[in-house]
Amino acid sequence: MRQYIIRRLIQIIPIVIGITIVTFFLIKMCPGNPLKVMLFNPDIKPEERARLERLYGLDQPIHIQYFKWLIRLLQGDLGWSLYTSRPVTKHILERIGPTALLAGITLFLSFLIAIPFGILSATKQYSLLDYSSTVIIFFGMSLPIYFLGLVAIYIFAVKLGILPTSGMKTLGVPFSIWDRIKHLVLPLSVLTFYQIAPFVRYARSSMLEVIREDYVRTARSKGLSERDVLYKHALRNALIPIVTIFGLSIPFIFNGAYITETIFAWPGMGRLAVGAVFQRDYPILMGTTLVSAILVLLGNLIADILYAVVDPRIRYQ
Amino acid sequence: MGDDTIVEEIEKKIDYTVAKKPITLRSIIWKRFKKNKLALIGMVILSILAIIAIFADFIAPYPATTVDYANKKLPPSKEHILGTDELGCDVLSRLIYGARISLSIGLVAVCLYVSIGILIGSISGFFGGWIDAILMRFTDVVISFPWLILVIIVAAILGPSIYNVMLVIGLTGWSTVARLVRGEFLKLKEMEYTLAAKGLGAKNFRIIFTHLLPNAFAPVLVAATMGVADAIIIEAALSFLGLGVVFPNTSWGQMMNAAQSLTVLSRMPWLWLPPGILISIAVLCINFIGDGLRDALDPKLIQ
Repeated sequence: MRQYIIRRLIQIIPIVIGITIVTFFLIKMCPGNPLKVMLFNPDIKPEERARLERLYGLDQPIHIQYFKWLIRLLQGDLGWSLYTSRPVTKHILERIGPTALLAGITLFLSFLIAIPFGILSATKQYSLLDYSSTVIIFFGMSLPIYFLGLVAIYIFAVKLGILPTSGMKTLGVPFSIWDRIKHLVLPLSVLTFYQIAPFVRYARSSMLEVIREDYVRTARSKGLSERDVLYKHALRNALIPIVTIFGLSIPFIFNGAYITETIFAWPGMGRLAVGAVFQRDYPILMGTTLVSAILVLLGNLIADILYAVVDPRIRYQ
Repeated sequence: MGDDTIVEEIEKKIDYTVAKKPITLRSIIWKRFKKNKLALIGMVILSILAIIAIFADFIAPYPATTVDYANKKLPPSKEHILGTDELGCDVLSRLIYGARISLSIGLVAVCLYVSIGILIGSISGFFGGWIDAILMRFTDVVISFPWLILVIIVAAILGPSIYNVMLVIGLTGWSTVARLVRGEFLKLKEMEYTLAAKGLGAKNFRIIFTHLLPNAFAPVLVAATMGVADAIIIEAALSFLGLGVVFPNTSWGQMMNAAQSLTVLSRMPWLWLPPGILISIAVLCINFIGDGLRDALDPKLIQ
């Protein structure tokens, strides 16, 4: 088991290096260099510009720039925002909390609701439950998430006026749990609805596959009660892919909510990234992209390890 | 004997004088696909959307970009069935012309990234060894980036335009297809007919294209179909953010860009509800078709 984990960790290293390279060069390709703006100012003499270029290290060949950036990165320094001159790390740490809150509850809720739903609809195929879950799956996966968000805002905030349209809390009002919850409801419901669909689909299809297996037939023919067959034998095996999906959804915690956060003006990392794109705030963009990619990688790693824990056959590969 | 009687019975029913259509793989798949009612409905609705998109010039009541400041922001009326937008353009016409762009972006982008994915996946899967290792590591790196962020960054680099959107989605979405093709190739490489082809002296290229690819195609086709739906949604997201299709070009996502302002959102639902609904319908239909295809192409699923 330990060997498996160590092997996977070693495999990850080149990918992490690849991610840093791709991020760096991607951002370098973005048009607009902060120093180019100074080209337009006639007061700045060429020597000054050259000095600034040397200061920022922009005159050096690109792979040297990359290595210098990498070294700073490994020391935990992600640079400073071009817009606010605050360290990028501070920005990210500020925003990670709200995103984690939103997406963490989403993941938890959607998992809790979707898995039993999917499994039950697999065991009672062609029942009303099954058809309603199929409908939910399809609608959840087809509606563009921002459309759902807009409709939700329209119905609940504008027309009914019971829920706030945006933000995490009402400004100027002292801290109150009820206020926070009211602000959470809309983005949470939209995200959860969207996330339930794939979970139900995977739970259902995996359970359906397992039910057709031979060992289930054996268990039935042994005379076990249907409940034992389904929920003691079949369920365990059906949970294997579900556990991997759960692991793969962990990166969703930090990556999934870009558009939703933009619509609901939720102060999270997604909105930070989208805002940085528009302001051409490259250090922040680099920082968020890097964090996102690394988290996806970590999520995959956790998923693989969970998979190996649950299914002993994988460990010996 | 009893068996003979049964055989005779069957023989009596077979009429050898009438020529019947030969059974091909394609006809079998089509028959299985037809059994799925949802998939058929999806196909019909999508065809209607496609016809509307192709014949937009004849169907739309007004050209998509007649700016008419006198009549801006009108709610639905008899002259403008879905109302007008902030510049006075008829919403229904923009919707119809938008279908063209949204659907074609989806198709072209998917064709682009499926081609790239097949190229990389087949080379990686067939040759194995260090080519495989390098290509797959690169693919892993690309997969690690959340697709939307990658798309947003590249769109910000290239600037908003229809072709850039196609390029952006096409150049970034190939990673899943590549993995898929590689997986299939790894399986198919071990089949006897590959060995036979090699024994007959077939060149590598021929083996890949004539023998392996056609057999690997099923999951790729399903992934491509679902990919069109994803591409439409991503294009809409990009245009919603202002990084994709911009005025005067129209796409459904671009029409929803208006909803970023709270006034439009609350007072003028006719501006953003129709495009959103149409996107949902199109994506829903494509998902139905994709699911139907998946069930029809799966040899293990007995229908």
